[in-house]
Amino acid sequence: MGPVTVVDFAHQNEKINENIDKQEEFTEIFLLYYKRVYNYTYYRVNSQEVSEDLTSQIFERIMINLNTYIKEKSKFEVWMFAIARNTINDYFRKQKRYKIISIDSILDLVSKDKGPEDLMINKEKNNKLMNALNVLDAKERNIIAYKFGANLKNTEIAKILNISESNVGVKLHRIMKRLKNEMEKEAK
Amino acid sequence: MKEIKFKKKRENYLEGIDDEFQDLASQLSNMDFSKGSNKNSVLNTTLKNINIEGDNNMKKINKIKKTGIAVASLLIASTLVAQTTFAQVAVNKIIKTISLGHITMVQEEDDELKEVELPDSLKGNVLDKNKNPLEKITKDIYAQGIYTKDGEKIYKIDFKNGTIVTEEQAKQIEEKGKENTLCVSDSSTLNQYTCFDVKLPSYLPNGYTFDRAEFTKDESGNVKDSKYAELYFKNQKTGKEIYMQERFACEDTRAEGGSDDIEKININGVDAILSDGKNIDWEANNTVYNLVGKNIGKDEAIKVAESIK
Repeated sequence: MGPVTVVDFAHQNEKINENIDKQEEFTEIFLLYYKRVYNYTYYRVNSQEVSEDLTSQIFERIMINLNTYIKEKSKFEVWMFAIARNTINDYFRKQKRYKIISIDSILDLVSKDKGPEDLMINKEKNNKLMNALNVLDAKERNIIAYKFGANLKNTEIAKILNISESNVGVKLHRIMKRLKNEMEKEAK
Repeated sequence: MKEIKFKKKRENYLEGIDDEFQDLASQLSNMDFSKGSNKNSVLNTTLKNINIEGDNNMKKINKIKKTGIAVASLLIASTLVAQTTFAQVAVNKIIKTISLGHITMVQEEDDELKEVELPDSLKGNVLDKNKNPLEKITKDIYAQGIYTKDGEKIYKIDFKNGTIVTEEQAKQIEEKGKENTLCVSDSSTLNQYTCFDVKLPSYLPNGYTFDRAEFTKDESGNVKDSKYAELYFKNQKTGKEIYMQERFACEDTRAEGGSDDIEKININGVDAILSDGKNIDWEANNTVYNLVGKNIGKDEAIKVAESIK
C-alpha cells in the first residue's frame, strides 16, 4: 500500500460539463482516499456509524474547499488530513457540548452517539490490539490514526501537527512502547 | 542468507518505526476497518450533500427529512447539536425552521412517542427503582431512575449497540474529559486563546458572576486560536450556572439544532432565535452566541444577551 497517491487536478478549471466533471472528480478522489480517511476516522472514534458519518462530512469539506488547496504549499494528503482532523475535533467538541446539555436535562435516553468517552466502555472485546489502543489518550490515538489509519509518513504528520519530524518519531516510539507493554500485559 | 532476510523485511518495513516495533506496526497498518463499512452509501450521501450545496436551507431540510424516524420527543434538548448527532436523533415533521447566518434551528412536530422499547439484549437487565425488570422505558420511569441488575444507577443507554453507561462510569468519563479541557478563571485573558473577540455580558442576574471559561486543548495540549469559548457564570449562593458558548462564525462552526418551540426575536437589532422559551442563539460581531437560560428564564436571558456588545 503506497502512501503516495497523485490526483490530477488539471481538469478542475475546465468549465465544460462542470457538474459532471465535478462529480467524476469527486468520485475519483473519494475512491482513492476512502480507505485511508475511513481508517483514520475509525481509529479515532471506534464506531462504524460515526465513522461513516464523519467520513462523508470530511469528503464534503474537502470538495467544498478544493479550490483553496494550493499545490505548492503542501502535499494533498497533508491538506486533506488536516481537514479530516479538524472535522473530527469539531465532532468531539460538539459531543462535549451536547453532553453538557444532556446532563442538565432529565433524559438522555436515546443517545446513539458514541463520543470519545465511549471508547473506554465499548471495548471490542475480542481484539487485543483494539483493547490496547484504549489505554492511549486522544492525542496519542490521533498519532496512531495518522500513522496506521491514514498511512502518513512521519514528515507528513509533523507538518499537520506543526511539530518536528524527530518529535513525531519520539512520540511514536513512546506510544508503540506503551502499546507493546499493554499487549504483553494482556497476554499474561 | 542474512541479506535475503533483510530484503524480505524491507518489503513490509514501515517508515519511521523502530525495528523492535515493526511487528506491531504491521499488525496496526493491516487493520482495515473500511472493509466492513458502507462505502457506497457514504459516497452517495456525500455526493447528494455537495450537489445541493448551493441552497443551504434546502440542503439542511432535505437532510433532516431523510433521516426518518426517531425518538426525538424523548430527547429533551433545545440545543445546537453537531449535525451528525442531530441527524441521528431527528425527526418527524418539520413545523418551522429559522435560519440565521451560521445557525439553524428546527421545530419538529411533537411526535407521540412516549416510550422506548429496550433492545432484546437488555431486556431483563434494566430495572426500575423497585427492582422490576423493564421491557420499555417511559419518561416517568426514567425520571425516577433506572438501574442495572447490580443496583447501579444508569446514566444512559446506547440503543444502537445495547450498552449501558452507569452514573459511575459517566463520572469517570467526565473526569477523563477534564484532562483535555483548559479552564481559565481570569476573564481578562480570554482573547489570548481565541481567534475571535470573546465578549462578556455587562449584565448578569443578581448573584451571578463570571466563574470560568473552558477551551478544548489541541493535540499538543495547547489552546491557540480556538474557534470556541465556553463561558460559565455562577451564582455562588445557589451553585446554579449560566452557560454560554461563543464561537467564531465560519463554516466549521455552523450548527443546527432542534427544539420543541422556536421563535424569532431581536437582540440589539439583529435576528435571534429563542428556543424553548429560554435559550437564545444569535450572530453578531462575526461571532455566534448561544446562551442557555435554564436557570434564569426568558426575560433575564434576553437582558444578559442584550448586554453583550
